[in-house]
Amino acid sequence: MERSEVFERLNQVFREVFDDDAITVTEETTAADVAGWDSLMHITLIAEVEEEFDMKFPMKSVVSMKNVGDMVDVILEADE
Amino acid sequence: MSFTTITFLAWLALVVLLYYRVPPARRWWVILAANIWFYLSLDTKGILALAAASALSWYAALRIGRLQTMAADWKRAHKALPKEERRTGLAVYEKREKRWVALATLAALGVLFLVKYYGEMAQSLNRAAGLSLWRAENLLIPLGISYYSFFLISYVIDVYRTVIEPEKNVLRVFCFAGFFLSITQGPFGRYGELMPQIDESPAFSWQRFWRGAKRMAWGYFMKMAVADRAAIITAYAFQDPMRCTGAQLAFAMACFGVQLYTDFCGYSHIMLGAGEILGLKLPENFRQPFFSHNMSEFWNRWHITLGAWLKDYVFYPVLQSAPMKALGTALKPKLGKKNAAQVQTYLALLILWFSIGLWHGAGFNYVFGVGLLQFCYIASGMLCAPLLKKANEVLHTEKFPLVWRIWQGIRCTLLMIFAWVFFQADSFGEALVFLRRMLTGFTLRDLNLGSLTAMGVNRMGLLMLFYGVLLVFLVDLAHEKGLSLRDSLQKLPLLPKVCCYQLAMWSMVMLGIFLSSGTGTFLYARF
Repeated sequence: MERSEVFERLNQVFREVFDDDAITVTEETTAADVAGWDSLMHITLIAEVEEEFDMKFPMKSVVSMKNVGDMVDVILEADE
Repeated sequence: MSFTTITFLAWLALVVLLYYRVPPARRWWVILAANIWFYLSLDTKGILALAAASALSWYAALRIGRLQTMAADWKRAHKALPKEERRTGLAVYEKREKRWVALATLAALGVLFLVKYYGEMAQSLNRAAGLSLWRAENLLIPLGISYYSFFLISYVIDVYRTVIEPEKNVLRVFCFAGFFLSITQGPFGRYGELMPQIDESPAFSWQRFWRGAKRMAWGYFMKMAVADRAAIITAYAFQDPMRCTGAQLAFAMACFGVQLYTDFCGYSHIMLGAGEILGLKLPENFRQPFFSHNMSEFWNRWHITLGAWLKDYVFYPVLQSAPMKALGTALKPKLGKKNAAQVQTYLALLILWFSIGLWHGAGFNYVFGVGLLQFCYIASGMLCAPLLKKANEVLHTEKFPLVWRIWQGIRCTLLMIFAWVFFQADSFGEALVFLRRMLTGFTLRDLNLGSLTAMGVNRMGLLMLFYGVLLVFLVDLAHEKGLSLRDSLQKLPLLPKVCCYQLAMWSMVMLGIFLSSGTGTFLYARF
C-alpha cells in the first residue's frame, strides 16, 4: 500500500466521521485543525480507520499520535 | 512535615542544595532519599506497602519487557510466514504480557480496594443484610496509596505499550512512585516524563529559582490567605447545617468552591514551583477552570492529570475493548453507525465517571457528586448541543459575546459548587439535608453582613477573603489572556518591582492564616 493511497482513503474516513466533505488531511494535520476532533471523537475516528484498513492500532499509538502522519505510519506498519 | 511549615521550606532548601551538588545522573538518589525522609515524616509504617507495590510493578514490567524481546526475536526469525500466521504466533507473547499487566494492576487495585473501600462496604452490608463480615478496622491506609497505585499502574502499562523500556533498577521505580512532590495529592505524572527529567536536569540557575519561588509564594497565598479562611466558614456550615439560614448555607456552598479550588490549585502551584527550582517541569493540574465554556471543558481544565490518566488507562482501553466492540457490532444494524458509536461513547463515559467518583471515596456522596452527576452534566451537554446551538442563534449571542462568556463561566461555577456539596458533606444524606435547608430556608433578607460574620469570620476576615478571591480571579484572568505575570514582573524596572514584592509580602503576612489558627492540611491529601 502506498502512502498516497492511505491518505486518499483516510480523507474519506475523516469526511464521513466529521460530516465535512471539505476535509483534506495532510502529514501535519492535528486535532486542532479539524472541528470536532476532541478526545471523544478521537476514539470513534480510530475505530473507523481500523475498520477501513482492517488493522488494529496499538493503544500506545492511540494515546500518543500527534498528527495524521503518525497515524499513516502505524497503518503502513500494520500492513507489513 | 506539612507543606505549609517553615520546617518544610528549610528541608526543601537542603534538598535543593544537595541536589545541585551531585552530577545530574546521580540526582535521583537525592530525590529518593528526600522521598523516604518526607514519607517517613508523615507515615512510618506505610513505606513498606509503597516499597512492596513498587517492587511488584518493577518485576512485572521486567517480565513484560523480556516477553517483548522474545516476541521481537520470534518475529525476526519468522519474517517469511504469512501475515495471519505471524499474528497468531505473536499473540501468544501478547497474551502472556497481558497476564503480567493484569497481575500488577489487580494487585495495586486490590490493595487499594482493601484499605480504602472494603471497610465501608463491609459495614454497609453488615447493616443492610445483618451479616458479620470482617470490617478491616485495624488496617492502616498507607499515605498516598490512591496516587502511587495509579503511578505504578501507569508505569507497567507504559512498558507494555512500549512507551518506555522496563527499568532494571527497582529503586528508580520506588523513586518515581514515592516522589515527594506528587505522592500526597498528585499531579499524576508518568515515569517516562519524570525520571529522564531528573537524569538530565540542568545546572542551578537563580532565574529558575526565583521563578519557582514566586510560583510557590502564589500557591501559599492561595492556600493560607484564601483557602484556610474560606474553610472556617464551610466548616461552620457543614458541621451543622440546621443552625444556619438558607442564605448562610448558600454563602458556605460558594465558600467551599473557593476553598476547594484555592486549596488544591494552591498546592499544585507549590509543588510545581518546587519542581521548577529543581529544574523539573511537572504537569499542570489546573488551567483557569472557572473560565470554561461548558462542563466538558471544565473537566479539561480541572485536575487535568487525573483526567488524562483516566482517559489513557481507562476510557480509551474500555472503548477499544472486545466487549465494547462486540456491542458496537450488535448495535450498528439497529441504530446505524453514528448512533451505535454514540451509545458506546456514553457507556464508556459512564464507566469513566463512576471510576472518578469512586476514586475519591467509597461513599455514595463521592460516587454521585464527582461521578455520576458530572456524567449527567456532560452527557446532557452533548445531547443538547444541537438545541443549544439553535438557542444561541435565536438569542443572537454573537452580538454580546462578553456577556455570554461571563454567563458560561457563571453557569459552570454554579453547577460545580452545587455538586461539591456532595463532595464536602459526610454522606449523601447529609448533603441532601444541607441542600434542602439551603433551598427551603433561603431569603435574601438573611444575606447580610450580620449573618455572614456569625459563621466564624469577622468583618475584617470577610473583607480579606473577598480581597483574596478578587486577587485569585485577576491572576486567573491574566493567565487566561496568556499573560505570564512572573515574566511581566521580571521585566519591570527596579522600583516598581520592589514595590510589587513588598506589597506581595505584606499581603501574605497580613492575610495569611498561619498554623496557629488555620487548618494546615490540604483537602486532596485525604484521598
